[in-house]
Amino acid sequence: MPDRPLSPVAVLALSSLAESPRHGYAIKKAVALRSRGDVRPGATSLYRTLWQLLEEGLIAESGDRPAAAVDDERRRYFRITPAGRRALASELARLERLIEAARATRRAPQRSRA
Amino acid sequence: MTRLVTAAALAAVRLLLFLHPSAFRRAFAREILDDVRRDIAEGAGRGAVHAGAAGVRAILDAASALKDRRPRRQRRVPSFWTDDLRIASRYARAGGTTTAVIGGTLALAIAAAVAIFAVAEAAWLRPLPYPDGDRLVRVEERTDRGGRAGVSVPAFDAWVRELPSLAAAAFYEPRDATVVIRGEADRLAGATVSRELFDVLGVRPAIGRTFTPAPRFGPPAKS
Repeated sequence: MPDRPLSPVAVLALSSLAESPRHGYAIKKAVALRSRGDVRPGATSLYRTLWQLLEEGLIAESGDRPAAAVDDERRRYFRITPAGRRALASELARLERLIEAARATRRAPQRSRA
Repeated sequence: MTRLVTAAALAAVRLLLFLHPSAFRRAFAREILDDVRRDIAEGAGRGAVHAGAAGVRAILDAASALKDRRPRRQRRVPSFWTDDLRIASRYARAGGTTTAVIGGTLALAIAAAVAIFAVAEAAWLRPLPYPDGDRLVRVEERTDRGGRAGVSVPAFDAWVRELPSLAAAAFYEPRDATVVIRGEADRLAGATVSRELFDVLGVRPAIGRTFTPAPRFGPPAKS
């Protein structure tokens, strides 16, 4: 488990890989789609993130490839690891707590100054 | 136009990739360049401006990703060397006098054990410095009081005869001697030995020769 919060690109990449193994370009598209265009990593940034996730054992290269008709044989496919699923769940829980805390602060009555 | 944008963007990104860690470059350069090419091609579908924008974005991204930190290997389970030793050293520092007493006792005990082992190793464990040193045995006679007794030549011959398990035998009697060399007397360590001694030990003299095959007793052979 990484000892720091995951970046938005890492969270979205992991959540896309939690569905199915994908190659880098497909992950890039999925990240942009899932964030409705808010997060659009460039090629180098995306692969730096994938490199980090690989080194931390959160993703791994996948031997499973899609059907030959849709397979891009020049590309490597990546899959999420059990450690990656745990890290994603932990990060989502952390973000939810953060959002909850922020919302609670917003709902709390403003203290008036004397 | 698109071809020009693609070539320029790829050249710039390729150049910038050289500033990234080499392990990253080796692992992903080809896929990055493929993706840049694909992004520009997609942009070109919407016009030259979009293609140019895709190229510029790819270059800026390759530059801005330089600030990404290198990935750290996943931290392993706490080990003896990292955690237990750190905790032990903290306790030791907090212990003060107690730590000093325990440390001193340990040091004394270790020193005593090392000294005893050194003596035991020299006396019993270290093999004799001869070929087949582990096959050499010393046979001697003792008096009733436990002191060493001299062995006569007939007694020695009887041992050799009656102990067939001995492959060879030689006798050796330490005997120091005073010698006078160029007018100066000196006390030298020596021994009376039988002529088989060098063969039994399996050694040759550093200089000179060993015994000639003369009779054991009688006048020395002329050389």
